[in-house]
Amino acid sequence: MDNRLGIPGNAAPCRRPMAAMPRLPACLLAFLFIPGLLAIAGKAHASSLTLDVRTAGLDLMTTILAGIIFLLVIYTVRHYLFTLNRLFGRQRQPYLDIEQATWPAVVVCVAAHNEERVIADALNALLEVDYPRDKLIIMPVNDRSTDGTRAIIDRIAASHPGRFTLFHRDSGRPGKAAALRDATARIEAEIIIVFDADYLPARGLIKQLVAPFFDPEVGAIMGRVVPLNAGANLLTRLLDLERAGGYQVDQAARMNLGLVPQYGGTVGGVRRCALEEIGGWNSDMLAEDTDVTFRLLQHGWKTVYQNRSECYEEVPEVWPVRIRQISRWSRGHNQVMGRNLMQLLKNPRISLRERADGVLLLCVFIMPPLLVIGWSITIIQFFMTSHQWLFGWLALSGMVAYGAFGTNAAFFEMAAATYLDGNRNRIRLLPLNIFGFLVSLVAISCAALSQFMDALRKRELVWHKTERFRMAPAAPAQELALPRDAALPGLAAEVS
Amino acid sequence: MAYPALLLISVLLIMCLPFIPALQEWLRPTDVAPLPVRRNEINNLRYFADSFRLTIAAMPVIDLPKLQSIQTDRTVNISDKLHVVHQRLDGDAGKGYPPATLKVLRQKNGIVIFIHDAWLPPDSHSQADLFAAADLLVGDGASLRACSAQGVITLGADTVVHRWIDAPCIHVGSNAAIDGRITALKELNFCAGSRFVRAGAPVMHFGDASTAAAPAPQAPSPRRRHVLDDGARQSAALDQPGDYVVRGPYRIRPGSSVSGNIKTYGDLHLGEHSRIAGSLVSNKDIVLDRGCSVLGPVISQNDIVIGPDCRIGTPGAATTLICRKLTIATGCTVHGVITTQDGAKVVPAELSHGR
Repeated sequence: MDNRLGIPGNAAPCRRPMAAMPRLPACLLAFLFIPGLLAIAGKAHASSLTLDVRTAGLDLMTTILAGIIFLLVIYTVRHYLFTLNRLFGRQRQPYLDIEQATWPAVVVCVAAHNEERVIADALNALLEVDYPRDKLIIMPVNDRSTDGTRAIIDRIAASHPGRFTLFHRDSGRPGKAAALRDATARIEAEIIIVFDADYLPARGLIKQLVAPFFDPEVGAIMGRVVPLNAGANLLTRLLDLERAGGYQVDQAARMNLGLVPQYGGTVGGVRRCALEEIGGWNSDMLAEDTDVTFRLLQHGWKTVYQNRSECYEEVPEVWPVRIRQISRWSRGHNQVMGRNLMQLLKNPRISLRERADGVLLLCVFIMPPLLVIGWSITIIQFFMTSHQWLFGWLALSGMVAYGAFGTNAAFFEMAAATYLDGNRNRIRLLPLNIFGFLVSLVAISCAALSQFMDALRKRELVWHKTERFRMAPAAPAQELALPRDAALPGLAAEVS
Repeated sequence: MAYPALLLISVLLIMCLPFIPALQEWLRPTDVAPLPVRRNEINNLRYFADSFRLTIAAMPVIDLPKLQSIQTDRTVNISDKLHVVHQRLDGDAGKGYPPATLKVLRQKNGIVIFIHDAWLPPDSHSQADLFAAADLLVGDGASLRACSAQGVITLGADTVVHRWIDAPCIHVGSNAAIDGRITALKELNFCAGSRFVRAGAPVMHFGDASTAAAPAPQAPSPRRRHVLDDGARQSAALDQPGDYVVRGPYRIRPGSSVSGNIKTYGDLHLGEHSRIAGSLVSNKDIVLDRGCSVLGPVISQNDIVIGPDCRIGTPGAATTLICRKLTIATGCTVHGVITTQDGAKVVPAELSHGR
């Protein structure tokens, strides 16, 4: 699950229906409107109550525009801050080197809904991890699959007795959150690690993901997602750049700065007692992962991001799937925003910087529609203020300046991530990301609009699964021979 | 009219400029591989040593039992970079190796294999990677690049190891410095004044550790979590079993026993003979006074100071200690792995700050 848009602010994952309207737009509009109204009132007073409707409209639009530009500047500064921190700041990965310890019991949940193409790879990879076998249980969470997923899981489990706890779900509410909620009720282990079925965990990954839980304040952990099919076509290459920016820079910087790294629902895990304390997975939410991040934060638990805990995933290879995916993320994220924003702002037990970052993270998916509104107002003002060309010109300049510095901030982030990853030539594709940016902008704006309409009609959002593209068993990009397997003729067998 | 058109064309050309390499990379990809995730890689402090031994094991000409049975005292050059030393120095270490052998030891990027017990003279400089099939004795002031042995390695005073050193058992002399990793299958012994960056062994003794504290008991699981805001001084809450998050500095009273993990935002100070049946995590410094014992990982985002006679981990439950800079007094025992960013130093008990 990704958390990156490549446009003002970063996206975050999402999954599920919307029960309440996001509260921010109302607050935001009030915030934007009040100065405009005051200005209007002042003018009306000065001109002996001759209210010029046209001027009032222009003032209102100017105020809204100023508010939007203000928000965009905040997100721009945030992007630059994160990128500069990753390039020059102190890096913080305190738990990554925990190599030996008394490891706690862990259940690895593999969420699967019609995953016959990929589930076997994920389960076989999990059977090879270096976590103590007596402490590790693999639990494929088969959620109402109608293909061969169940048969594949049963076959692999039968050939590895004692390693699996099976969870097949034939009915009930659809969606990963609902499935995980049902599965979690059967888990007694201290730590729950969650993977999607298309993920291929490395041998050392489970230990890396469990290590932060030795810190009693850590409630969730998130690793880095790396696109396996990055080279499939232009879309996957652009998504690869976006993912790199989102994880290598954005999430890592939030971890460095003690802000709010986001649990992404896969390649990560939660502490069971923390999950119980916050009421478990919320099956009403499309973005159960983001929801968990913020509910944990409200209850005094931290989420840790580990940039070196990497795992392969698939990214969409065709635009319609990508558009559906980002639309779903947008709706789910906005749903989480609606439920958590005010509580977050009012919670005095959360530090100011965490609250500020949390609010910016929650509001990230309302920025694209605001940007569209800003552009629209700019154009309208330009033509409506022909006698006051300076205002229109200033507004247009403001938006153009944002285009130069604001959009550049997100692109700078991606460029920095590519640099940190050691990739060189793919950075040349960066200008083409402007098209991905525009597609995301339109998709998210449409999703926000439809979410607004759904809220008015009190319609529930529906969870849609992202299509898989893998045709053959995955081949690891770099398979390294490990010392552990080799026999050493004439040398003592002393390899640990 | 011509000038505006020219200006427009120029602007469009400049705007299109970045798309030329972009289109080139799209149509003729040169960088499409996914980010390499080394799926077989695990956290293993002995990674370099294991790889080195595997490299030697994979050499068809190196069959140690056969080579050990050869009666010769020559140094055989298998290739420019690989040399086998057959010379025995039993009871005559002072005689040392012949100049030819000392020359290959100074060769950069070479591998030197000692078939029998080996001895490196004081103040010698070895730039080859060394492998000793038996024991290895390193004279005072010597400098090594990397070395592995199947027997015991003894580093003399003031020796320097630049990369890594690994053996079943290693004794590190006073003021010796290991700039990289030091690992042992069984035991490491550090003298006062020695320094290292990363170390790992089932048992690591610092100085004479015969008086190290008894191991802490195992904490019950699951545990309740307590969040304390008052900080600074130990509150009564700490007497209850459970995990503790303290939003500030914290000082634990001498002789206390805590059945759980402790996390502090500020400095964490353990009084003498405290016993922690869990982990210690601090955003700042951690100080352990004399005779403390900790069962789980000890993680500081800043420095750790460990006083004399402390014990981290147990023989049956190895653990990890992570910090920026570590100062550890003689008399301590650590079971597991120590990872520092800026290095660790062993200080005499009487000079330790954590008394």
